[in-house]
Amino acid sequence: MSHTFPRWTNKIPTIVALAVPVIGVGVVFGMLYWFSPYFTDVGYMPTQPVPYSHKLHAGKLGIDCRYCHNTVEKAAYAAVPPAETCMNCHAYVKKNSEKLALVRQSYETGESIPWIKVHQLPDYSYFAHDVHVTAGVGCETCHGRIDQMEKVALHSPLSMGWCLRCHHNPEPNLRPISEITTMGWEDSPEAAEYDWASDPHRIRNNLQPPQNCSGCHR
Amino acid sequence: MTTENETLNKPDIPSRRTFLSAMGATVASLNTAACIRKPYEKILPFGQRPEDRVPGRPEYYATAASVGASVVGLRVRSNDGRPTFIGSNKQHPTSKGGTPAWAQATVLELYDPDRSRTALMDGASVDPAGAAGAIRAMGKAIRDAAGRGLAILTDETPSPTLFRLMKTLKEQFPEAQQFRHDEMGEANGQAGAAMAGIPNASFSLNETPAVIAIFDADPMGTEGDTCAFDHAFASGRDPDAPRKNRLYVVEPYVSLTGSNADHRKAVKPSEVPAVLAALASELNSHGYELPKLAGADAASDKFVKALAKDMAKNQGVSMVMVGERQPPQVHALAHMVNAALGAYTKLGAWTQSDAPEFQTADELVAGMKAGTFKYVVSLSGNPAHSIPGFADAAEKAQVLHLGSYLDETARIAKLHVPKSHYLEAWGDLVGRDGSVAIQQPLIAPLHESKSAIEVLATILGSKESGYEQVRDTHRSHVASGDFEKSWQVWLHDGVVQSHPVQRVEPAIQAAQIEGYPKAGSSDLEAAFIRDLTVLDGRFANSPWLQELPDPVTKLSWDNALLLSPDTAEKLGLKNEDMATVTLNGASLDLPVWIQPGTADDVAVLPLGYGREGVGQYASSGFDVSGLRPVDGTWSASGVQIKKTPGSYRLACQQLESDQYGRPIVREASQTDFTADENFVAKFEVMKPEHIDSLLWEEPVLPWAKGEQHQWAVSIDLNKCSGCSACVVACQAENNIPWVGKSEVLKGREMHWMKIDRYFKDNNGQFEVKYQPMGCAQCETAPCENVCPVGASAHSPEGLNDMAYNRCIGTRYCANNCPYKVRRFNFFHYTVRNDGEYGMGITMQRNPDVTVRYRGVMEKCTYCVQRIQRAKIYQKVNGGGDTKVKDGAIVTACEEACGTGAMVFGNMADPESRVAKMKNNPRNYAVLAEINIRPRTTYLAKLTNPNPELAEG
Repeated sequence: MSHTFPRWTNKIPTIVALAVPVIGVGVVFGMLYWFSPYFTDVGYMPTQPVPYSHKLHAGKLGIDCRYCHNTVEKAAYAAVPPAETCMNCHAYVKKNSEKLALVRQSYETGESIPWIKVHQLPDYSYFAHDVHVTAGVGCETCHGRIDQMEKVALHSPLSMGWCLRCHHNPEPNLRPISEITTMGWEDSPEAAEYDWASDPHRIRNNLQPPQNCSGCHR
Repeated sequence: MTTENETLNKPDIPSRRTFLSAMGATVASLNTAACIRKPYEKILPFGQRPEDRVPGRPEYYATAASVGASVVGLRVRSNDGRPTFIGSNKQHPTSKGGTPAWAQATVLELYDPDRSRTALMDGASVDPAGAAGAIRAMGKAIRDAAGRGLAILTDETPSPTLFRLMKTLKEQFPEAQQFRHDEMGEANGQAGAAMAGIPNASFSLNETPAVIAIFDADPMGTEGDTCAFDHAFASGRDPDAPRKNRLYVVEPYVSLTGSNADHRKAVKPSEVPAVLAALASELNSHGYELPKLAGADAASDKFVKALAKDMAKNQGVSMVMVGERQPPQVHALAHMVNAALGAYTKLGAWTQSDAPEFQTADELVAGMKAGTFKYVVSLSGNPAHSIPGFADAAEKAQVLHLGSYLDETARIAKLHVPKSHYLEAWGDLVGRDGSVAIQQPLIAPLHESKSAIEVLATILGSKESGYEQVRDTHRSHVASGDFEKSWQVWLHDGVVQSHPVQRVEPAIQAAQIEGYPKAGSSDLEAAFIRDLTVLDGRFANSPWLQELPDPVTKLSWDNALLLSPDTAEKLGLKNEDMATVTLNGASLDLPVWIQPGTADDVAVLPLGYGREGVGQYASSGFDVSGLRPVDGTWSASGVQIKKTPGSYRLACQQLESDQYGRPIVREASQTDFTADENFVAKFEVMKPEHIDSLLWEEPVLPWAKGEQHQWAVSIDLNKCSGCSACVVACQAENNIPWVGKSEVLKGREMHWMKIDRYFKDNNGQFEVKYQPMGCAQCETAPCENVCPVGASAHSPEGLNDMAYNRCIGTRYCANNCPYKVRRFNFFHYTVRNDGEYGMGITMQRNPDVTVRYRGVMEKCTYCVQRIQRAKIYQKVNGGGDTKVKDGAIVTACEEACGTGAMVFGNMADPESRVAKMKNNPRNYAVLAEINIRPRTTYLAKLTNPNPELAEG
C-alpha cells in the first residue's frame, strides 16, 4: 500500500503546534513595540523653518518657559509665541542674523512662521495645558529636558495608555507650583524629599483627574 | 408621471463598479496611512498677536440681528477669529435671552458659498475699487441733480444710523424719495395703527396678559418680537405664576401660536375679521363702548361669548392681537378693543419711532413706470421678486442693488454690490421698546461687500466708514468726554444704555371703521403664510433651516399645499398627491399635505421655497408667490384645486403624531393640578415599587457614590413653544451635518435633538403637544451594555459618554435606545457637506467638538465640551473649590431657549435649579416603566382652558 503522504509529514502537527504560539507571541509583542507610539512617535525631531535652539534659550540663557509660552497657565494651548516676542530681544541682539530672516519677515508682514508641530494629538483628543500646569504637572514631565534639546524632539508617546497611567495615579508626577518650569527637578534631591500631601501652597484638594471617555474625547 | 425634484430625490446608491473602486481605494489608502506617521501639521502663530488674544480660547462679542422690525440681541462666539455660534444676549430687553431658529442659522449664512462675492456692473464683475468708484459716481450725479429722480428702497430694518442718514438725505435733497417694503414687515399693522390714531410708534409687551386673543397672527413664530412674546407667555404658564394666562387663537392654519393655544378656532381667513367684530360687539354687552360693525353677530358663537366674558373679567390685563395677514381695518379695530380693555396702559408701552416717512412699494413702481426715477437704490431684499411690477418698471431707471445673492434684482441692476452680513459690518438696531443695540462685526467682510449704511453714506458724500457713521449717531447721547468710555460699555453689553426713549400715550377712540372687511364667501380660499423655518424665503439657502422640520407639519426641504382632512377628502386628495392650484389666472402644481387643525376650505400655501437662481438649497420646494394677488394681500378667494396625476415624496421627519394613549407628554389643566398636585403619578404604567423589583441584582452605580457633579436636565413642557431654535443651536454647536432630502426620506436625519410633536383631539378641539427630546443619559442605559467595543460608557458624573473613535458602527445601541435619539452617520455626511459648502462649513465648525466620521454613531452628551471647559476653569481659578457653580454651564439648547424651558445643572447640588425642578410635583420621566432612569426628565404640561368652553 502506497503512502499518500510521505513520512515526514507526520511532523507537521508538532511543528505547527510549536511554531504557532511562538509566531503568535512574536506578532503580538512585535506589534506592541513596533506599532506603538513609543516606537513610531517618540524621538520625532523635525527640522524647523527657523533653527531656534531651546538648548541655548531655555538652557544656557535660562529664559523661563512662560516668557514665550505665556498662555500655558490660562488656556488649553501653550501657544507658540508670535514673532513679536522674538523681536523683543532680537531687535537688539543679533539683529542682522541670517537665521532670523524669517522671524523679521513675520514680524514685519504678519505672515506666520510655519513651525512644524512636534506634539500632535489626534483631533478627537482634547488636552488642556492650564489645568495640568496649575495642578502641578511640570513641563519636564511630558516634554523632557527641553533645555538640552538643540532641536525639539518628542519625549513622550502621548498615547492614551501613557496619559491614563498618570491619570490613575498622578502623585509621583506632581511637583511644587514654584518648580513647574524647572528643568531637571525630577532628579534633584528636593524631588526626592518632596511630599505633595503636605505642600501648603498646592491646590491639592479634589485633584481627581478624569478617567472616563469624555474627560478627553468630546 | 413623477414630478420629483431630480437633484434632491435622486437616490445616492452607487453602482457596483463605483462601490468596488471606492472600496479598493479605501483599502489602499488605509494601508498607506498605516505605514506613515501621523499627518504632518503646522503651527502658524501670529506675527504680532493682538493684545489679550489667547490662541484657542473662544471670545464672545455682543451684537444684534434683525428680521423686519424685530431685533434680537446676541452674544456671538468667535473661535480664533471665526464666528462659530450665535448665543443669546441675556441683557437685551426685547429678545430677553432668546434666539429664534433663524438667528441661530445666520452663522452658517455668513459662510454661504452662494453669497454674492463681487460687484457687478451691467452684469460684468468689477473690482472693489471700481465698485466703490461707481457708487461714488452715482452719488455725485445724484447730488448734482439735487436728489431729483432718486428713489431709495429699504426694508424695515430699524437702524437709527440708517434713519439718520435718510433724514439727512431728505433735508439736503427734498426731492429724493424714500420707500419701504418688507415681506417680514408690518405694513398692514402700521396702516391699522394709523387708522386708529396711533402715529409712527411701536408697542412692546412687557408682561403677560391674563387673556390673550390672537386673530390670525403668529407672535411665537413669524411675527413681531417672538422671543419677547414667548418669554411673556411662558411666564404665565407656571402654576405659581402671579398672573396665569389663557391663550385663544382664531386662525385659518395651524401657526406656532395656534399650536400652543388653550382654545383654538379654525376659520377661513376672510372670516377672521367677523370673529373680531363679533367680539367687539359682544364686549359692548359687558359695558364697553366699541363699534358695532355690520354682520357682527356674536349671539350664536359660544367661543366669542366665553372669550368676551373672560376678557371683561380680566379688565386691563387682556389683549387682542391681529396679524399682518389681516387688512389694516382689522388692526384698527383690535387697537380700539385693546384701548377699551386698558391693555396698553398696563401690559406694555408705546414708543415713538425715529423712522422717517416712507412711501409704499406700489408708489415706487408707479413712479418707476412713469419715469420719475432715474436712480433706484435698493438697500435690501430682492424687490424684483417681492414687489410685483418692479422688474418690468426697472428698465427705465438705473438700479443700484445691494444684496447678498445674485438674485432676480441683481440680474436687472445697473450696479450690483454684495451686501455685508451683519457679522461683517457695523450697524445699530432699535427695538420696539426703543432700546438700541450696537451691531458689532466679528469678522472683516469675507467678500467685497458693503453695508446699507456704507452705501447710503457714500451716496450722501459723507464719511464712508460704517463704524464712524454709527459712532456719530450715538455720540450726541453722551457728554463729549465720556463717549469713548460709554462706547466700550455699549459694545460690551450690546445695549446702548443712554439712548433717549420717547414713550407715547396713543389717543385711540372707538369710531366706525371705513371699509371693514365683510364676512367671507363660501369659496375655497387661499392663505399665504410665512414659513416657520425659512420665513419669507430670505433664509431659504440655509441647509440647516431647510432640514429643520417645520414645528407643526414636520416637513423638511419642501413646502406643500396644506389642507384640512375634510377638505382633502372632498377634493379627493391624500398626502403626497400632486394638485394644481389655480388662482388669479396663475397655476402651480404642488404636493398635498394633510394638516389636521387647518380650517376647512382653506388652501394653505407657505411662501419662501422654490427660488431658482439664488443658491443650491433655495430651489427646494415650490414657489407659491406667483399665485399671490398682485397687491400683495395674504389671502384670496376663488382658488381652484384639482388633482393631477403623479405624486411627490415629502420628507416628513415625524410620521407618527399619536401617542396611542401612552403617557409620553403628560398634561393636566391648571384646575386639575390644583386639585391633585401629584397628577403625573397616576399616568405611570408601572407602580414604582414594581419597577424596583428587578430580575437581577440592583447594579452598584459608581456614579452615585459621592461625586460632586451629577449632570441632569429638566425640561418644562409648559414653557416650550416648539420654536425649534434649540435644534439649530445644537447643530451649530456640535458640528452636526445636514443630510439632504433623499436621506431624510430614509429617516437618516442627524439632529441630536428633535422636538417631537403630537396631535390630540380634545373633544373636537385640535391640540398640539411639543416635547424636546435628546439623549436622556439614562443611568441604566440600555445602549451601553450592547456595545461590543465599549464606545459608549458611563462617566462618574452620569453622562453617557461617546468615544467616537472607538465606534465600529454596529448600531446595536441605536436599536436598543428607547427614545430613538442616537444618530448614525451612514455616509460621510460631513465630507458631503464640505463638498457642497466648501470652506464655509469648515469655518463654522466648533473646534471643541470632534467632527465625526462615516460609520459612527453619535448623540447628545449635554454639550460635554462646555462642561469640561467650565470644570477646567473652576479647577484652575477656583482656589481649591472644584465644584462648578450652578448656571456656569449652559448647554447650546438652553442658551438658545428664551423661555427657560430647558435647564441643565448639577442635581447632586440640592440648591441647583435642576435639582429643584426634579423635586417639582410635575416632574416625570418618559418611559419610566422600563427602568432606564433617564437624567433628562420633564415637567408636565398644564393647560388653562376656560371652564365654559372646556366641556366641548
